[in-house]
Amino acid sequence: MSSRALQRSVMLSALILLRATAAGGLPGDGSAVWAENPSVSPVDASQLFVYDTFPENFLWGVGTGAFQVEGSCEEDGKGPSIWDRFIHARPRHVNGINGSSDSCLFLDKDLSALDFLGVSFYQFSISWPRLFPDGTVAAANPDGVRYYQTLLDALARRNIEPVVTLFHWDLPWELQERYGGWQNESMVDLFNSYATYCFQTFGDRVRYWITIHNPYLVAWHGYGTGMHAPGQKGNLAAVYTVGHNLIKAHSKVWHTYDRNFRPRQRGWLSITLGSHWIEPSRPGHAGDALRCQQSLASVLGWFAEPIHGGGDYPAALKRTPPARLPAFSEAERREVSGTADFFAFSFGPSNFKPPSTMAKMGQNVSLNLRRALNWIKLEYGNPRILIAENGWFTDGYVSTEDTTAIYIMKNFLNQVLQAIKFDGIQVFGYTAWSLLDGFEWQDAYSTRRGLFYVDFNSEQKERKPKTSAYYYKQIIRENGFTLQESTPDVQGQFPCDFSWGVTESVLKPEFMASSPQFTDPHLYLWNATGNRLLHRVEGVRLKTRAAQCTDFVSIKRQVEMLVRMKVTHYRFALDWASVLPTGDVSVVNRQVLRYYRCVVSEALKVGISSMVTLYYPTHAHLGLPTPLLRSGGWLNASTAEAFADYAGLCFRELGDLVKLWITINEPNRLSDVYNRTSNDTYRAAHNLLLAHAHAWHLYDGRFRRAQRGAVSLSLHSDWAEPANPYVDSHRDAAERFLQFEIAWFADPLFKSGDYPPAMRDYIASKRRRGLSGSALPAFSPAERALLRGAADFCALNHFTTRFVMHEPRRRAGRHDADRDVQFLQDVTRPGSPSRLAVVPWGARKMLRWIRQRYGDLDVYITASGIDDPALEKDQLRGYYLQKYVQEALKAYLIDKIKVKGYYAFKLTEEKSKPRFGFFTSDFRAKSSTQFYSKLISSGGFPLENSIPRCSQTPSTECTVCLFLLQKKPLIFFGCCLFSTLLLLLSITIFHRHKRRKIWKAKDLQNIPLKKGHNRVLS
Amino acid sequence: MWSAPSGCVVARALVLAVLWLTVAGSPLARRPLALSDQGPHLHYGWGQPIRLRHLYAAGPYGLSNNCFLRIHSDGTVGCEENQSEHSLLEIRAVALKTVAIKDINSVRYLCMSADGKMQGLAHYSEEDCAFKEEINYGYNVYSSPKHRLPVALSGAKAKQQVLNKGTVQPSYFLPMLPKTSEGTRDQLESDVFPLPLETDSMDPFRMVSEAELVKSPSFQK
Repeated sequence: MSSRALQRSVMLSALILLRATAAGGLPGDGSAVWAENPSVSPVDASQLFVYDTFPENFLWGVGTGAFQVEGSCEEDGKGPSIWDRFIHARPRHVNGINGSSDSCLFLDKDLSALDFLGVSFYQFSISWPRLFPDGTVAAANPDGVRYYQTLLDALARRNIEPVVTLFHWDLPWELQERYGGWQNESMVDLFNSYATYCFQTFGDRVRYWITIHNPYLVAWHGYGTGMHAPGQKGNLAAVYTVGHNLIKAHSKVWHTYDRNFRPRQRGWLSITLGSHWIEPSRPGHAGDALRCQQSLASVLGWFAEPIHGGGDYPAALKRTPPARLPAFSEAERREVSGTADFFAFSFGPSNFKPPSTMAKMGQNVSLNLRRALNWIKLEYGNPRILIAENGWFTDGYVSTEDTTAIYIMKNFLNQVLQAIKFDGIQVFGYTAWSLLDGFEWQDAYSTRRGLFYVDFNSEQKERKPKTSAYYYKQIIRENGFTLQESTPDVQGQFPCDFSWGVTESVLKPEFMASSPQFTDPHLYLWNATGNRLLHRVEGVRLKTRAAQCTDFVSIKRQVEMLVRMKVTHYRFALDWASVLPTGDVSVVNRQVLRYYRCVVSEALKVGISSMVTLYYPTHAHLGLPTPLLRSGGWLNASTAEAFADYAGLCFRELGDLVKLWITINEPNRLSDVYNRTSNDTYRAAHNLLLAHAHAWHLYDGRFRRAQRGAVSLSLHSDWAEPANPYVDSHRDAAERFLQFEIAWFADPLFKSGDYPPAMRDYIASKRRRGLSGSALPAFSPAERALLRGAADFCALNHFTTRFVMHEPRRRAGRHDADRDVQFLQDVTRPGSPSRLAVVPWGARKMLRWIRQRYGDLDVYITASGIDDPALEKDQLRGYYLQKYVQEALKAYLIDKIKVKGYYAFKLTEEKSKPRFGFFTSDFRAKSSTQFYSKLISSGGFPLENSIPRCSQTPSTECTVCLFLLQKKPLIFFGCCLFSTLLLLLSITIFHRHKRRKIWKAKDLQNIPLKKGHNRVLS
Repeated sequence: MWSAPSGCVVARALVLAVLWLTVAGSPLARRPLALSDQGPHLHYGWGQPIRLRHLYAAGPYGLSNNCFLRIHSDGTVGCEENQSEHSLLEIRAVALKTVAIKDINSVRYLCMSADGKMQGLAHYSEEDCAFKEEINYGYNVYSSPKHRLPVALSGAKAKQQVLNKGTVQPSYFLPMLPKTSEGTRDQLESDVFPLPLETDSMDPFRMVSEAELVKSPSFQK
């Protein structure tokens, strides 16, 4: 106990020192928040969700307002407040306060709720008319006093710090009647007497006092819009008078406490100020930033500038409203300034809705708590901040399953943590609003804000923890967000034969060579008549060069891009309709096939293998040959046979060069096209599966021995995670989603030869209950045998993770209604313009799910990528690649899953489409190409001093060829030199030999001359 | 005895090396020259089948004041004094020496009506919206093969000229590269930009989507 007191006094002295030294920000300094260059990378550590803990002594709390939760308290002699009268006067609030959570009667239930959460403080308000029924401090109502004494004692026993608000809008009705409420300056003294009584009576157990809760709303809605009690409308002069009196009342109470109570009670006192937040509609625009500053000055600044700043109203406020803003005298300014021991900040729906609550000035309202805290820091000289109210609301029908509230809390709390960690803002406590569902002012009981659900019509008013209560409890227990979602990064490499690929969609074939000059047999005359045109000379035919792959310019460009990326594999798709225009193999467009063969062979020349997709349908373009499309497309079983014929043709024509085949890309997405009825969808899927199986068997039987390739089909396989981890139905929905999305196609091939039982059962059960007319088609035993095992590896197109909620759907008809799911976008995760969330660990979970369900298969991630709006420095894509490849590496190294390849999606992008490309639509490389090629050359994430294992990728026998190839000119030159030398040498030798022969002959002729000759020579 | 032949070999090798160097190295040496030889048109991308350019209508033969061709979204063809993204055009080769001109901003083609007046049409027609592109005194001149009339920006005057003399003075254009590269870049569709906050909703960020459709980047193109 004594150590705590010591700690407090130390903190207090530090606080006083701080108040004395802090020069304080100047009014207007806050606008620097908007001037900030918003070009900070979206994946910068300071912008991403922080997994970390809050400071050690961070205070975790929860709050309530007396009028919202206490109920009528009729038995204990409470007087009426302005809100009681206000509600009774309005038919809209006809059920009045009687349906409330009745904390008056069920205080112990509130206390158990606090115990459940494990909070370190409880913020509640004292009901002024409950202590003093007519508002004046004469005889206090003993029952009222006893209630708060009991509460404070109970909190002290639990070691829960009370944070007590003196006035949370429930002004005694008598004071309104007699004096005109806060419009009358005499309220200042009346409030001071009430506060003094409270300090005297409860101050020994209270360290944190709040005088008034959100005075802005009292003045604005009470006297401006009339939405709050006392319900006066349009009286702007009254609005500012009320604000003026509220400020003076607060200041007087602070001085009373400071002078008379602080020396003994050693507490701190402030006023809770609420605000919205706003962002310029044109980022970086000076005029808009000024308007944002005005908007904030007219709400938060109105009260904060006198109290936390210089003692006067902000200049912006003095200028804008035409109404008479009361003025502070010089003495008053000195009196008011600095009358808060910390900054108590409220950030919640009351300051955002309805739109008449604040002046938007044409700017965009925002829920960015972090930026709001930054504004306070700059404007008021980095004060210590208590978040005195934060949260959002749910609609009245939502009971304990409040999933959106969890994510909003997660978002707000992480912003607070970011503000503490990165912006150096001194937030020392957080109040989640609120403990209980209760009366929500102008919304009455149509919205709920509690962490605990209360059925207002029940007798016992049980407090049932909502899922957000479980979530908050977990955060309090961990003191923040501890790293749980992903294990730390590993260092290591993929094996040397890992295929690092890039994916491209259907390649549009070039029908003609781009440079006809070598293939055109005609002779031309130029400018014969002076018109600068070519004229063909008839009757002359020249010899032409045979067609070559280099005639296609688009291939050259593709290969250039691939080489630049340093990929080992290129995944692209053929256009079925171009290869077989009639759908029948009797009419083959050889030119198109030649083009595709050229793509494969040209890529092979630079050491890049191809993974070829035979059929790649998209939402806009089904990609079927027209006759097949006319005869019903995939609803017609004969399409499956036509596909097998087409596949056979491709295997025959390209199979000697292609070792990896994908028959169909994302057949599970074709459900979006065949969506007239759910049975259409299931029928199309049925035929797609059979088409694949036929093609696979064709390969297996006829081509595999010679070509030694592998065939599979790639599934769109995003991971699913329950949106609300505290609700079983969400967990089931996530698993069901995977069954309906992936197992639907994977079970028949990798497992049983039939659709997953879970999917069959769920549809059958919905059908029995009359909720769906769907029925999955049945496979014959022969078809089952055909399907089982008809894939050589597992190919997954993995992009993101979806957060899934259970949402029962009655709407019979479409297939997506059968699975009863709904999706949630987690706003705390980095996302792309097309709302793809970056959730790397989802990839590893996906791989583990596949292994667990289908055994130890070879797995290829055949497409994985994100759209990044940046055209040059695509940092989001770089981040995505790094994180997703890292998770694939974990799956390979730790989980021992046979991950064989990673294919980044995709090579190029189209204009005006989400930007998924490594290259822009005009073939400019973005920075992520460099990142990816570096990742490829290091084989993953090797230890820094490790030797690159796969550096000598070209085999030893080919080092010679490589050497020969590289030094071709030198070798040629050497050969020339050598042969010339040889020639010279032989000529020399020949001549010498000849000469010697002549000499010899001469010698033989006259031997006696020899001596003489010798003599001559010497 | 050996010195003479070996010296000869060295000399031969030197000659060969010099020859080889000149052949192999010549493209390097010639490149800067080549650019000026090809002229500014190649430099300005005549080799490309699709060009993004501003068409600057210049004097002395054009309008009295120099300006940039622009096709308004109401179909009128006008001229802007300042080069802006609104005057950015796509010049696409549609046949030998023949081009189609489209305004990127209004997505309308430059076309010629029956009376020779210039207009902007939303749909391309081969007859009315394809123009022969020729170089005249260093300027680009466009003419309609069907109407046998040149593209002239002074619409009313042109008609009068036809009536009066039977000839039309063509407008002389200079294709100009876009000033900022941003202008030529593809603009993302507006629907991918973040939606405004819904403060009246319990889900202000629209986290829960009504549409339950699963989309795949490799399917939803």
